[in-house]
Amino acid sequence: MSVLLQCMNLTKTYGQVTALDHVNLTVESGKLIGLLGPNGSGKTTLIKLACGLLTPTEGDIRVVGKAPGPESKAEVAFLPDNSYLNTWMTVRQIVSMFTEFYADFREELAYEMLTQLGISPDKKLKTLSKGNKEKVCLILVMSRNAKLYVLDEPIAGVDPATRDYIMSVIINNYNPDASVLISTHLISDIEQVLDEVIFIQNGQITLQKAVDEIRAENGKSVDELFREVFKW
Amino acid sequence: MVKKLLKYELYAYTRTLLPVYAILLGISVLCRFVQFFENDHVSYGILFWSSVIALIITVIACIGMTVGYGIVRFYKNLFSLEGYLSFTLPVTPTAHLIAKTLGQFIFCAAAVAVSLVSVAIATAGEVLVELFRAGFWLIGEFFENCGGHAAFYTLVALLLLVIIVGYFYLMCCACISVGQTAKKNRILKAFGAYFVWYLITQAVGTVGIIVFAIFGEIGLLEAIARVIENYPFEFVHVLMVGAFIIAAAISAMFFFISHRIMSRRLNLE
Repeated sequence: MSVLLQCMNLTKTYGQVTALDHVNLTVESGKLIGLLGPNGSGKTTLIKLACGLLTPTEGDIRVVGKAPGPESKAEVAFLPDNSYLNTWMTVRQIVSMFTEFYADFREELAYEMLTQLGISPDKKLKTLSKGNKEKVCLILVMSRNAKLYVLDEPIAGVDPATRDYIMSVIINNYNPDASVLISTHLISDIEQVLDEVIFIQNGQITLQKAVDEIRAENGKSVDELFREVFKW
Repeated sequence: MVKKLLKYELYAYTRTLLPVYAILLGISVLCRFVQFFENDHVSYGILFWSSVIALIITVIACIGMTVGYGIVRFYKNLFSLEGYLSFTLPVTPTAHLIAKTLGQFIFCAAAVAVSLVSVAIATAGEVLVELFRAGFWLIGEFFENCGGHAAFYTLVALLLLVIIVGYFYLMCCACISVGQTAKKNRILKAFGAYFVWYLITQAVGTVGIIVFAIFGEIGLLEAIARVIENYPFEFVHVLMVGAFIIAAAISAMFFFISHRIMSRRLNLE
């Protein structure tokens, strides 16, 4: 197993607010990992730091052994929690753009998944429904043969049937040597597929454990443990 | 990667500006069409001048929109939600900046070309022939009077035009990038950065004039006048090349500021 993400004393502040507080974290390959925490706990900040969209205030972060930059970005597939694609482009144009920029992009797989979902590649993104836009974004990310997939709230705001489809896309399409880091609040929907969970609270990692260990040691599901730990 | 980025830059520019260029050409055709009904009636005068004013306004709008779109695109493509895609592509900030600057160069040249074509359409006929005649006469006079220097002047003047476009665009990019370092009111800080730069240039200009005035009293102006009298062509060379070097150096500084912020202080919150 190789280390895909390593945070060393990673700190990020926004003015007076500390979003991440001296985080030490290691993510290894070949795992589906849930990054779980309440709102404002620092999940998105951690993800953005891993993708090079934020600069750390203190500490260091290594992605696939490199500081975030063009080389690490070539090996990380990122799905943000909001629509970030040019809505005036057609799906085909966006697929073509990903094919051009990412050497690991599997164009055929993307079109295969689009066909399965009945999304016409010739439609402009702005003409698609919110759910279909999210599916296109996910297809683009999961069509990459990346080493680390970072998915920020991939199943938020979609109906349960779509959630199931999204989860099946994630499970069936990620590179087995890679890892998938999923940030979400909807734990019960994903916990059956997770290998490991990371609990984050007030910018600090409070737990990093295998799901099987949690079940064996606590006799609880991850969802139950989450509700207990983050109880108001 | 610059080539790939440039392709999408040109695509975005084309999509937005092509209708504007088409409108400009349409108005120029209309302007020419109106001239077919030339007569002494006052209504013709109103119609003719209205079409000329519409053409002038559209030419200004065409060039203004090209420059404005480049600046808005820099902000939107890199520092708004689209930045999530731009900054997760395996591309360096240098490539982003080069592609965006090249896109601006190409479309500024296109806007000028379309404006010239529209003027040519609006004046097609005897007026255009006269314009060409006057233009060729001016070029002929220029080459006759300047001799071998003329070609060099033309080349440096063209380079100066290019560097001025780059200077202005990179200055706006640097101001927007500086604005991004703020915790809030980032656009306001970008305007603040522009204002500070404006103050600096004004201060430097004022100090320069004061120094010039002081040294002018002790014979500097006479010395310059003597140089112009004895070496008029060489003096223009020095002036043009000097302006080019200064503009290029400041443009490089703006490029470096944006690059530094994009690579070391990026915060897409």
